[in-house]
Amino acid sequence: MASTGPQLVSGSLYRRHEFHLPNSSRWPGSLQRLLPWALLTLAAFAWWPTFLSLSNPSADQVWERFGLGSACVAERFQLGWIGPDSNQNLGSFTGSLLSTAATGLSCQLARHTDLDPLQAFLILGLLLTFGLSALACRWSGFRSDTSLITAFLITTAPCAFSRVGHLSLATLWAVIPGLLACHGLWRSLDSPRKPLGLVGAGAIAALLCLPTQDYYVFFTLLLLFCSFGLLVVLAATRTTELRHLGGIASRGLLFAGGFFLVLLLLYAPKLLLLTQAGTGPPPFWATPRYAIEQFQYGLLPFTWVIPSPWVAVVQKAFEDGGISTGTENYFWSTGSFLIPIAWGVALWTVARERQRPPQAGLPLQRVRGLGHRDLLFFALLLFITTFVGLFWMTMGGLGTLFAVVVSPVLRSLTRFTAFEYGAAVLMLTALLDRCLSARTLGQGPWALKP
Amino acid sequence: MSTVRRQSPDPLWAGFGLLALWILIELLSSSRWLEVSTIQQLLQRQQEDKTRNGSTPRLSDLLDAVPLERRTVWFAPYTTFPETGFVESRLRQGVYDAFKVFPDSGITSNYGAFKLSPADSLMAQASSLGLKAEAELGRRLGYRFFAIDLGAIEPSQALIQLCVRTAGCRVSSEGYALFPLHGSPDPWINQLHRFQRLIPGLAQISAAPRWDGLVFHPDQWWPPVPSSNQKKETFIIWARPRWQVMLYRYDRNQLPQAARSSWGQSNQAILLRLAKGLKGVDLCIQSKSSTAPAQTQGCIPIELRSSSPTKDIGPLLGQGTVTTIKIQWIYGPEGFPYPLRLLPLLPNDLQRTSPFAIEFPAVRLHSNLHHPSSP
Repeated sequence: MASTGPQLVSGSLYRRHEFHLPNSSRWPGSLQRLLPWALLTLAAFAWWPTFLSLSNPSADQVWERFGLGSACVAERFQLGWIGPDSNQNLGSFTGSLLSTAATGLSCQLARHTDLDPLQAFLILGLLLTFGLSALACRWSGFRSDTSLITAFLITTAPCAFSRVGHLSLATLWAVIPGLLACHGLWRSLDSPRKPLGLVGAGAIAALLCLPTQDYYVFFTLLLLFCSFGLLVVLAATRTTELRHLGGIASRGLLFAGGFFLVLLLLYAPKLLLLTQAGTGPPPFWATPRYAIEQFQYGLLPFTWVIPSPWVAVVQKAFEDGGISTGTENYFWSTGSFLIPIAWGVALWTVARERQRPPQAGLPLQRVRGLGHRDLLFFALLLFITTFVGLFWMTMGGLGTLFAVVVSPVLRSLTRFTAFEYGAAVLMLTALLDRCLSARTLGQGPWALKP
Repeated sequence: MSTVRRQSPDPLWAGFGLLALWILIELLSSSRWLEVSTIQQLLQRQQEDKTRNGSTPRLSDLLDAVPLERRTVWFAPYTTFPETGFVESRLRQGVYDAFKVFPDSGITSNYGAFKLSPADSLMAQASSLGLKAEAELGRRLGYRFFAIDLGAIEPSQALIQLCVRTAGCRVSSEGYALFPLHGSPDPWINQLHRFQRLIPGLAQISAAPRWDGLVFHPDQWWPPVPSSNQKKETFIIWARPRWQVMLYRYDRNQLPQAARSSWGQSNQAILLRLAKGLKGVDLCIQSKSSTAPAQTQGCIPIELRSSSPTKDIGPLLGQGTVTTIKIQWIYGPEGFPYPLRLLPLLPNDLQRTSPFAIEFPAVRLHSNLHHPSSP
């Protein structure tokens, strides 16, 4: 089946041709072993000023922030403002079981060290982001060095650095695994694996995401859904045989099913509480946010491309011009030049693909890294992410409709910046991965010549 | 198939080099290493300001004379999200920022540390009930000072005058009126309701006010004011000028035991009241049950006229339901129907553009907060 299936959607096709060159890597082994520690030290060094610039609230206040062990719960019930099963009791930022565990772990870390709980949470978030992103990259077929570079870049993402006071948003561990889940979905579309294996792959992808905030879970599912739809449509342009198309779609659904099942299990406590709290006033009444926020946050997608050195200048110009910059300033999620650069690379990749002669012999084989098709997929993923960001999150897009008709609670674009940055990073590191692999073969990254 | 051969250096590697350089620049700037000198200058300037005796002292200087354990300040109006922004103040980038640059001042405040916690919920609810409720909650929780953000009040002259008249109150250079909170009821607290509608950012109304089993939709109602009726203790919540406003009435069984018993004792009317200066208003009331959508009623018409300005709508507010009050027609002083956008021009200045209000008995559910004289 795999050999006759539509090659466009297939990444795994070429894996069976894999071969490894003995000791062909240019990197000495010891350097590769040192790289993760060097990057981790660099990340910690980079984060140090942000730790310093944080206010130093007393430990009690930070416990309050985590919503743990609070004496105020009793008082709240005593006052009778909130019923025992009101959904306001769910007001903590932690979404799933695992992120609650991460919060608890950071509290324990703070208890047994000199660290402030806030700093403990940030350090744990940094380690988790770095570790889970690197793992997810390895799992997706990146080389170990490019995996570490990807993990480093997302750990020190400007949009996280610039808003470090906002705990749950400053820790981006769901972003790269979430985006790579789309890659896993794509690979599963033509995978020769058994159904249970596909479900398992989806489950692993969801576990790597370690779902944190409701935003990130929602965005990951949205991206997965959009990728799935687009890939099936693309497959339909290559084959009209319903048996093949059905097979592709069902394999993708099995992967997505495994992914969704694990998310559901991790989210079960919160979902259960939500169903029990159905008798109070509408939940978003309790959350003091306005529909207008959607306009403010979704107003300026171009902030994606304003890198942090110039954010202050642009913001000052806006303020001097009398333009409101919102409650929770969208400039806090600073953009990065990596985003337009990655867009250029993605367009270049697609353009080169169109120039490729149709009968170019066997496609490039995988050598320790990503294949040529993976590069194309990451270009596609960047396009999908940008589309989702612009269409679902912005003023004039569906985000506004959602805010006005359903709930004003979603503050979309500033949260989505991390995903846009993550997709850009994946595009660039995939190209690097490709270059490093192709270098060992003496070929160009796009491998126009076989 | 693939032949291994040597190539001249690819310009692509130079591209990667430039990219790495740019990543380093972004890393340096977003991790604030580039701002370190600015931060140091700021701190130095603060030190200099402290040593110099200016005419208007900073808030931290005002509190320097106070023993450390008594430097507890309630910042009003309270807002849930203390990130930088303009909502809570036009003068400053947010209290959180202000405190970030002098974390060692030893001030304990209600601000910034309680986000999305139960304490935050409590404070946001107090805030939704107005400045007076905030001050009383602050006093009850043991805060020694009540700092009102002058940048949030427009115009703020009257508040500054109130501060000047109050013993022990000072205005700081950052734009706070710092009132002392004593253990006993302070007379200035009762004046605070005058400023509730002067907050353009209107932090109070962003949270849903809750009142005796009624929950009002955020952003649709003004904070409650005590009624002028001296015989019966009632409160009035004015609707903001909108075509429809919503409120929720708790199912009695959903309330805590203590609240349920006191609610049961006061089986009193919930009145709709017409604003002064209007000839009449035609409304219709629709209840939608959140648990049983099938029980949704049709829209029941209500007519308020200046001859009979109140109407009891208690029976129409179903328990456990969201009730929508829609405006059909507003009649001006001459009796002609008015479009809603002309409402501010109507001579009902006292109510400040509200077409109608809800008036209900002040049940002492959380008596300490709203009635300081009661036990």
